[in-house]
Amino acid sequence: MKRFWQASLFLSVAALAVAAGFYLNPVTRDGGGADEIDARAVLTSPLADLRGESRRLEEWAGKVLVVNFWATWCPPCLEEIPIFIGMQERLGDRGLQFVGIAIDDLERVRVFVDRQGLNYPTLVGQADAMALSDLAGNARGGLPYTLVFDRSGEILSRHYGALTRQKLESIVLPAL
Amino acid sequence: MQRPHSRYCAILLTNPWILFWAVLVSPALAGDTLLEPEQAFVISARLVSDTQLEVAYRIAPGYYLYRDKLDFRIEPASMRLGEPRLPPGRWHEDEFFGRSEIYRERLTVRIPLHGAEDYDRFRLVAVSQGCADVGVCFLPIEQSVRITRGGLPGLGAPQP
Repeated sequence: MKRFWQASLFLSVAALAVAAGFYLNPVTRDGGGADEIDARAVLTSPLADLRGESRRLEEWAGKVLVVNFWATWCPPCLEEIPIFIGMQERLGDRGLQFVGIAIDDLERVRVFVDRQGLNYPTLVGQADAMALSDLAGNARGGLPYTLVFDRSGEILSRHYGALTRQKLESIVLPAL
Repeated sequence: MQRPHSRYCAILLTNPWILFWAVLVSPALAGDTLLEPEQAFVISARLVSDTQLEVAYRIAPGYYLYRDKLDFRIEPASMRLGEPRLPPGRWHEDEFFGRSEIYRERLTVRIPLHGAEDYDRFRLVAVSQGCADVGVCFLPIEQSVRITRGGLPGLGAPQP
């Protein structure tokens, strides 16, 4: 009986500590729940494209939308971009749409997009792109940061760090 | 007489080390995690003499700062900072940018300071940029530290 009590107490304290760890410390790379994000506000916020024209994510409404915040100075961001190019080419006809949002200098982004042959739209900005990233739930300012919206504009997933093709497919394929 | 399990409970609940380590380790048990940049890169600063500042970063395990992205300024702007004496960092290899010099664990920077004698308190603003080994880089962050001349001789007249 004594051992039972000892084990119970130890597990209780451990559970309390784990809960406290989640509460006080970091989010996981999956970014946690998306409940607190105002998806509508994210989709309707304006941001310039590479030609300086104002765009809003809502113009891709009705598609499964992968919104990727990135920067040219961020190595893990560059790692996943070829995966996005491949999936856009392969699954674009089925309703998958990538949009990159670069928090960076316009000229650097232009050069990178041309050189890498990005086959999906890129929006770019500094303070305004940071504000949109924050609105999209990226309060930590971590990059890359990716949100996936379903066809109705609801957030399916959010993720910090480079995505693998398998991980991204497991999110988007059921929604297509 | 105190029952054994009560004693055990008391030991667990009153031992801050058990709770401290469990709180620290528990996120790691949950998989990849991400600290707030201000928690990952904790800054402090002090005046070591009338003409020299010392800035220290405590960098969380699994995080690093880029040496060439550090920038410092002082407020009020009538004061002036000299060239920061950045220690050599470690080399970090990256498939996109090649070798970069980074700092892990701790960084201490001495910075020459001019014009401090007229002020008894001022503010250091530090800009840094770093990443986490889990594959996330942070946007540049700006951290501000208030510095007072407490303990140093020759206290200047307070400024409005």
